[in-house]
Amino acid sequence: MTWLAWRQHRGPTLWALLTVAALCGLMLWSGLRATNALEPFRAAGCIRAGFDPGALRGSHCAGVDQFGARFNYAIPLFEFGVPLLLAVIAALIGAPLVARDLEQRTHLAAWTQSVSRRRWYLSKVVTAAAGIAVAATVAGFAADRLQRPLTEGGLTSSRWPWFFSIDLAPAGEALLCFALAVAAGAWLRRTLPAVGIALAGFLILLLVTGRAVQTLTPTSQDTGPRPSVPRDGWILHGNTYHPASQFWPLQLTFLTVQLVLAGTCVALGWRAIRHRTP
Amino acid sequence: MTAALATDGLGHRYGRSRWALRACTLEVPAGRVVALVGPNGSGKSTLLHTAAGLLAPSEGSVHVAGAAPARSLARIGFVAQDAPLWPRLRVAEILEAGRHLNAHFDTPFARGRISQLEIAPRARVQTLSGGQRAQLALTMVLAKHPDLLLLDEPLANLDPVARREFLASMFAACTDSGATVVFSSHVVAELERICDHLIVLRDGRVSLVGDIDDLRESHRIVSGPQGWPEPRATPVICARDAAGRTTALLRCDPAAALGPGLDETLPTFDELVLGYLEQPSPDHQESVR
Amino acid sequence: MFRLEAGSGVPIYRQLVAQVQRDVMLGRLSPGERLPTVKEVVEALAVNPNTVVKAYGELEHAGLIVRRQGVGTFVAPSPPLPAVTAPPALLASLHRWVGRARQHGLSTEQIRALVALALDEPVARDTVRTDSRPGSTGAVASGGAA
Repeated sequence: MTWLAWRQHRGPTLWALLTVAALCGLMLWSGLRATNALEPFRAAGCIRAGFDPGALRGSHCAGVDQFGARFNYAIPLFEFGVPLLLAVIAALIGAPLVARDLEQRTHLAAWTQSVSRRRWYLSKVVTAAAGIAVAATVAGFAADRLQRPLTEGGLTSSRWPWFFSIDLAPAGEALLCFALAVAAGAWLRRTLPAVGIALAGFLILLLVTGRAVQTLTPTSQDTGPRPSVPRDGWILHGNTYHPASQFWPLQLTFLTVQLVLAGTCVALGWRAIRHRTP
Repeated sequence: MTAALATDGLGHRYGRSRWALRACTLEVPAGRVVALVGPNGSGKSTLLHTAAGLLAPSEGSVHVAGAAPARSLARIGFVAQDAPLWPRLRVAEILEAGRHLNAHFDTPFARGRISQLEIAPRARVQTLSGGQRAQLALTMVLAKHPDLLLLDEPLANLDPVARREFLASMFAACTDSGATVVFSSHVVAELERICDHLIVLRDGRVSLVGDIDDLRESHRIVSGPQGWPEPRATPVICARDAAGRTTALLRCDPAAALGPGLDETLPTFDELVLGYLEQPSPDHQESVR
Repeated sequence: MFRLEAGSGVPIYRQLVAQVQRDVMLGRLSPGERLPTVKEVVEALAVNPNTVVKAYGELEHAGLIVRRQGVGTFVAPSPPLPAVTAPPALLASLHRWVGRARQHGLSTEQIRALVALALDEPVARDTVRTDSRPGSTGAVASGGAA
């Protein structure tokens, strides 16, 4: 069954993998350049928590704002690009997974071989989901590698949005979007509408769950006379932040929430398949 | 001996109240070639789909060689209407898929059959003609060496040459395996040379079932003066007036004498089937709705 | 070797039986000659194998053919049907008669009906005036098997 699923969807899947690989390469390359560009300032002790590159004008650290100008592009491109690109890819793989068979009526051929309907569905979903999880995790760690020098160089007033683009978060998001697309495809029996519905649903769920996770742990606030957030803190805005110690618990919580939602979607998709009449 | 296909009070309902098939009780002895005949929407596909394990019965039961279809998938070969297959796969890959989807798949047999049919293994399914695709789909199920072959309108979209080739190669394969074949058709012509057992469906109900020779023996075409036959005197299936005479299809005891002034003859296959397809069905109407 | 007539009203197995009987009688099939296998007939005619099996079964029952397991099906060494060694003159006059019938615009079916009528003469003489019997064509093809 896995062979057929792979053979049926290998074209788009290979394209998706290539795209993700290119994205990872780009992020690693940008990250390396950023680290190198930052090296002299780090050596000169210019970099500290919560610093404002603009205020350093005239000092020997003045070149730091050049860094900002050089790498400003990376913020919108990767901070938001990683989850979005992965979501689109996951939707494009998930939607046709079941819907294409229903559209072309080939499910009738598949369901009357010696493989049960449940196995047909699960092996398709699990195979694709495993590939997506691996690709998205790699992309997540590459994004983390990029995020570090950029944050260090003071490029953002808020580090929090990176939370959803790095480490384990992208895998959870991509799997959720994939599962939404599978379920939508199973119910709608049509690929293109399923892609649209999956992406729309994903954005809504991401906003809701992201908000929920953000408020899960109380935030810390630095209210000294010269407020400064710890260097490794996750700034939400101004001087409100999640301390670094909260990062992994929050990541794992976020991942769990996404996976539970994704599992629910897969179960809903199975309901549609199980009761599907020819 | 267990029937190749047996249903008992089988019914399937779409939604709350639309019965596509109802009170269907029949037994197909092993080795028969069965034509499932009826107008469009009479429940042919529904019956085949329940027998193939694609549809769960809403009431009653269906058994293939004594077991529920969903548990005997390996013994059933099903080809859906228009023989859908993955269009972008190559012919050889379809066979490979068959090998992966079935524990017992006779790949050498399938390859041999494809080369015998002169279908290029490298060709993509979407480039095949309708006849070739039907043959490929048939090859894929025959390589399972099924006991029961279920074909939904296999001849509907084939030209006469492809139709003949399809039948010849299907029957040749069945001669070797002794498989039971059930196929549906909304066209009656040519069925006589294809089948030896008949199921006629009307409005989701079985109106005739049996071996064709037996069915022909137990029916008569009788013609007599107009106004004959007496209403309800004999089980009249359908009657028609033409040129001052009434011709009717009757179900009767082979030994029964019908009376003077009447010409009687055994019905041809077509007369038998068409008679049942034209049979007025007043008493079924309300229960089907 | 077999030809089928669709829509003739004669069951296909009867047509097969009748053709073997005819060919044996006319000497087109000689004793001991091998008949095509069921599979060969099925592939040639695209007919249901059960039909061929039934026809062969009937022929075997009538002693016209013998089946040897694993070898094949053969015309019996001495089939219980005497070969027709029709005098050439008889056949020639029959050909002439058929030619005339065709000139009168009669179809094959109608010619057959006339032949059947002639064979059943004492019975059929009355009915020909009123109406020809339906199903008389079947009587020709299946007559030999009775």
